[in-house]
Amino acid sequence: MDYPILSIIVFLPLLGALLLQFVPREKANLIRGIALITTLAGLVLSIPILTDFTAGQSAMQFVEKQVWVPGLGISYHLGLDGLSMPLFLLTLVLMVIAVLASWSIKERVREYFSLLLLLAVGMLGTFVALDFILFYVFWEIVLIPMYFIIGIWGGENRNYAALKFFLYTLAGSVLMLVGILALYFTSGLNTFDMVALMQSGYTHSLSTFIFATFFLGFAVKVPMWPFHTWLPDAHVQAPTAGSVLLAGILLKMGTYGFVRVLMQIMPGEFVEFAPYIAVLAAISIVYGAYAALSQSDLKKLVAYSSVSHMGYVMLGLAALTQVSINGAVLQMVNHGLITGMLFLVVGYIYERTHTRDIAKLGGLSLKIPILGGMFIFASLASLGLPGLSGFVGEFLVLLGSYEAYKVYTILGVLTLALGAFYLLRAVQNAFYGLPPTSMEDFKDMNGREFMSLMPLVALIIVFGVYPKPLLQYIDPAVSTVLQMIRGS
Amino acid sequence: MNLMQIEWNNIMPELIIFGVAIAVLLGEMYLSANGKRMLGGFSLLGIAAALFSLTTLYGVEATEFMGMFSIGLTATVLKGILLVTTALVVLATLRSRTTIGEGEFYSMMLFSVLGTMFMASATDLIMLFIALELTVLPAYILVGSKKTAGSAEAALKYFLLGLVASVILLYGMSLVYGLTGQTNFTAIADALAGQAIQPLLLVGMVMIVVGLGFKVAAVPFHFWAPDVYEGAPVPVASFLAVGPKAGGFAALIHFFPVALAVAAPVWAGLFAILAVLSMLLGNLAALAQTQVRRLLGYSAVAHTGYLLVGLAVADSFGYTSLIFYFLVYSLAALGSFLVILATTERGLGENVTDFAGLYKRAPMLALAMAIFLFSLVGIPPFAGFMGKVYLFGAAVRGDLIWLAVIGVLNSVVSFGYYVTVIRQMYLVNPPTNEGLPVSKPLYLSIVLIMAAVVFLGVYPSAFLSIINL
Repeated sequence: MDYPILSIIVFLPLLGALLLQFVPREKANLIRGIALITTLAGLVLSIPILTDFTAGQSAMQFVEKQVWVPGLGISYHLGLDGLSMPLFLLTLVLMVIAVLASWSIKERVREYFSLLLLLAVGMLGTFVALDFILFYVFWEIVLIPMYFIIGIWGGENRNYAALKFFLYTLAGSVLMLVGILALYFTSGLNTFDMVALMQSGYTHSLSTFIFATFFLGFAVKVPMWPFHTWLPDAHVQAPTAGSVLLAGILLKMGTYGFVRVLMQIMPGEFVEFAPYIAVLAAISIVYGAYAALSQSDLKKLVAYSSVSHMGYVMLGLAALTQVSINGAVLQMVNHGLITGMLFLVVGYIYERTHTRDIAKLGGLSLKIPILGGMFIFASLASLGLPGLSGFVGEFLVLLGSYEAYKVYTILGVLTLALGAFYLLRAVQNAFYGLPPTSMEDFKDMNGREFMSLMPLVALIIVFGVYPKPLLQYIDPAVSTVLQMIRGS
Repeated sequence: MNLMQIEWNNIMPELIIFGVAIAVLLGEMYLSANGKRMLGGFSLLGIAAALFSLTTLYGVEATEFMGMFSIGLTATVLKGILLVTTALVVLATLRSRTTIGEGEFYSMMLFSVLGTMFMASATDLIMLFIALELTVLPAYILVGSKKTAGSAEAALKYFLLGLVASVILLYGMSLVYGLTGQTNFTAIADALAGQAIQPLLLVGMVMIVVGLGFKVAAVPFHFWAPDVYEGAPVPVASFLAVGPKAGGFAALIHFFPVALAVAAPVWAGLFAILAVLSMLLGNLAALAQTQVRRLLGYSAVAHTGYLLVGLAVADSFGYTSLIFYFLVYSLAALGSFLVILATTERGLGENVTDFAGLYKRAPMLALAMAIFLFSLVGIPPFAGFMGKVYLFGAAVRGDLIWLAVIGVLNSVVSFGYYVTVIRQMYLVNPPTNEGLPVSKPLYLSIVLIMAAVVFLGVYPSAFLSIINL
């Protein structure tokens, strides 16, 4: 690349957000248009990444490196490998969808889309940053726009949910900052560069402490039981696009952190602590599913199912086999698509019915057949129907984890059945049967909503039938990670 | 003493400030009402001139007045920070109605700045004490310059507690002098070198810590701070957040590492304890506040705690990190006081709830305030984050990880009260949509500070290269 493609894509939304400040507040459609064009442009600009990315190369690609703060050896270092590339592209796709989903935002439109675009900067940057301070900066930048998106455009209890989200994730991440600083001062390399630290074979008496700080920061974000309590509140209160991005991208930042930082920089500690991580993952799987089982709020149900599905990702990572890690990374992408879609549909339904209480819904398939069909499709993908993408990731995770953690894997398989139960029950109660008489007629999906869901449907089917395009990038990167693990 | 031996250029910034302060005071007595309006602008020019002459001293190491006054990198940089922040205060208040005459207001401020500049350069106990008194005496007057009960109470509290602190400080100094027979910092160090630490020296040292602890409002010597920040006229409170505090920290980083180097582990431990207490109590007390200035007063106490981490580390990386953090802190703190100045000038109250819906009534003020508060928490990409990276980095480097952990956890707690203001500004609807016009100089000052807070967060090297970090 003869131009800094990653920087351009990462900071393009910032440019869009700045541009919005010059548009008069009242011109809502122009504002929405600019936001949409910005996110679409990001997607278009990323085409060279797809075409020029060399699968199987273990070194970082599209690398950009500049000295940032020379005194502390902080650099502006960006790059992609097979682990981050799928997540980077997923972010770009979900951003377009989030903008489309936000058309119904009527209040403080300019502020809303500015914040949404700023959020994109943080999310995209997190996946390409290869310097710890830079990584941390992007990681934290995400908090501010998300706080406002939940706090201003959220549901009834938004104040509480926004603050809880902010404080939980901040508390997790500030300790990570201490860990980063400790890593820097004990490595003796005088650099915050992740690649350099990966190759250095870092060990020190402080390793366990540093591992713990990173673990907390990432585990809160994933979130793993028992750090998950912020998630149902934030998801339920957030506006639709907020939930989509929370589930689709923000949670992936946590699991990405596990792969990128803990497995590659502290592989020895990761191996040592993997059994404990597996326990927490198994608890997350079962707990999330049982909690989802008892929800009457459709959005809360999806939120808890999200905890459960992220548990599979963590189980796959902790099992440390080629197959399971492949499955875990694949599942990160699939979960982003599927849960993103579920939240999207639930959001669209709520805009019509103004209730998410499953008991008060019913017969939606008669009233809004296409939207109802979309929910059923996403549910099937989520519960792991073969042929849709959710199946592939979780199947690989379970297959790969069996040899390492037999009991947890069996628990995971059994929980899949539970997942099928609560999702199908929700489908049955909300979408089939006769509609309550109190419900007036609703319009079915409009073109914009259709446009926002179609890419997800297509990708879920494609990756379900033919996951190779993704795995060809992921698999070699996973081999690299495992080499580091074995070398420790 | 032969005056010809003095390199006048080395004290030129101080001379300029002194001259301007006298001139402004005289102007207040002799000028017409119209002429008096020019005094603020004149002060600003004077500060600019002093700043310019200060830049010529960059890189110069020298001592004057027979070793009582020295200039070097830290002194020059601290003076630079002080002059820049003071200039921003003067700029912001150009169109404000001061509670006393313009001339009196600006000359008192300049005299206080003069004292702080001497503190930054003091290398002698006597010089240090005189400079300290010159810093705080005009500040007492300024705090009491509003003829309200609150202002008078704040001034009296500030004065009485300050007086006690000064006396304790002086007594501690006299003990150190009694043990060593010296007042010069390096001479004290030489006299103490190679000797066992005597109990009396420790007593003197603790008294100096207590005296200076009062000045920088470290817990448990902080009682005056919230009252003064709340009771003083707003322009004065914004000045207090930067000026005299700079003097206190200048004295701390010049006196202890040099004169009492032999007892470094002892005072470093003391400062670590004070740092923890200040962070914890400052932040927890701020959580309960509903009056914005009182809230910022407790936040100032907490930030004294963060700054003291740099002293607890007791190495040069710690001190320079402290200076950097002081810069980013004072910018954000000054900025938030100036936003309060802008809103109170339009008749808004000072309760947190009075900021309701500020985003609609004054979008720029709300944005600036939010940025300042996020910077105070230490959220990137704002300057406060880089400050914390350096400060807590110094702690980690100095094997004080536990202190860094307490520090970062405190910044999470601090978000709990800063967010109350942010929530009001952005998440609550305004009682009225009426706009809040801001005078141009004040607006300019706030925008400049906001730009600096963002710029230093994104490109901290701009400042760090000056202090060789």
